Amino acid sequence: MTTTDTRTVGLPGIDLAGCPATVRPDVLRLAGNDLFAGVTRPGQMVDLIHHRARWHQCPRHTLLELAGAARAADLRGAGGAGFPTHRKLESMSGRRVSTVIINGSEGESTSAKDGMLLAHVPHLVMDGASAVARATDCKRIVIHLSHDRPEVTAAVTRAAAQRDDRGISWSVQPVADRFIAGEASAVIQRVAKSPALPRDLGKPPRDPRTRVRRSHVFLSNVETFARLALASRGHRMSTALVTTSGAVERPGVYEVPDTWTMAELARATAVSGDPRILITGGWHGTWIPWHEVHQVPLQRDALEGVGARWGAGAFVWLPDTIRPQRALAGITSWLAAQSAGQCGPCVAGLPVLAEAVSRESLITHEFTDVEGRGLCSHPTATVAAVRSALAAIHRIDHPSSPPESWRNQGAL
Amino acid sequence: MSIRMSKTRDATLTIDWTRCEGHGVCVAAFRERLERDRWGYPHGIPTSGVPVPGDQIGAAKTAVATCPAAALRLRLG
Repeated sequence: MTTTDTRTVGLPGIDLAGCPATVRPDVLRLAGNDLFAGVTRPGQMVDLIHHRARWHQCPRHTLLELAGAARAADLRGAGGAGFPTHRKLESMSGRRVSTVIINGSEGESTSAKDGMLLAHVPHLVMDGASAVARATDCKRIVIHLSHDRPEVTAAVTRAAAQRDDRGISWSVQPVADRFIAGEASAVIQRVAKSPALPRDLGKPPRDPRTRVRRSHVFLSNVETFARLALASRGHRMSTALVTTSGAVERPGVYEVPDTWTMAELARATAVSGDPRILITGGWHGTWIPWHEVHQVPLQRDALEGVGARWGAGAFVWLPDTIRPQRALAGITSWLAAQSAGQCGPCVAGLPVLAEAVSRESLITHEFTDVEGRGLCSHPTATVAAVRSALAAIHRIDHPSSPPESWRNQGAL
Repeated sequence: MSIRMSKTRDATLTIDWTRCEGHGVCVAAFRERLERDRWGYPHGIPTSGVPVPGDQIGAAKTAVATCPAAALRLRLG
């Protein structure tokens, strides 16, 4: 699996004048010892027989045993929100689970890790989902994918045909790619045969009030299921799974020791030029001056310790050939266009915010008109990203100002 | 909208943003807690809802009942 696009310096999915968008960095660069163990070349899918030779059968666990394993491994949802997996599992206790959904839609164009997991080690991911299904007496597992990655769909379809889980039916659902389509409630809606738009389903346990009425759906991200499969076998994990892009010569997916610093990752991915800003956690994530983050290890908590979001583990080095303000304008416009179009303040407010960002004017009410006002987290997360971007740009332009001064201003 | 509750109990006003069309009727009914934004959507309803003290429940009920889009709800507690 290699990218057909040879341009390496650019922002995945975001078109800017003078710096056209690059494609999603769909290439596995480094296979580590946990998730990608046994993968020796990019594009090689580990068949069931080889998968079992390495990892053996997944032990049969009760729901609470599975939750205990997740808690011991400190598993957090790897789709972006970071919700503790053991709590999600515990919330299913005593409930009827109709469907387990593997969320592989990966609408975030800066992230490719879920597609790479499914293309190389689908059985590890499926083991995690199968363990949840068996623990909850659920008979149906749906794998939700983006239709624009045929090689991923092919690998998953082949793997699903190899499965030998008794009493479980597997179905593969490739759907139209859209940033907001990967949002959990949107995926649940989709599986229930409604449009893939966010819905108010509440926090887990989720109850899609449709065909599967009064039963519950267990949905998690691809990486979360893969890690759950390892945790359920008592395997101690010590790798981080990240996707790199932007000003790098080797964009793609890296499974590396989680003791690596950002600087070590930067060397591996061959950061080019002299980028001064790193965007962590994708387009909904955090902008942070590179000098504030380069010594931080590749761990969710460590990154949060410097005020940056881990999200889905996507890192974009902002090319030094693009003015940060211009990149921010492009990204904000793109995010505004990703609105699902359901909630007034998001529909009306995000384009106004994007316009203000592109004019580089003072931003005040444009934030509060959008923040916290919508059914899904898209408007609020977009505001948070823009705030962090303006703060990071300010810190770079005014390195001598007191570090806390910008925090209370919100805008510049 | 019929709600059974004693006058002294607090309630929570929530909004379904996918229904709200920005008529602004709720703002007129419940000026104590809501403000119009520049499009007519109500300002002042966070995701967790607005806590409504007992003496404002009447106004909140009017806001719920008169919303042309049926976007508001009042919940006990």
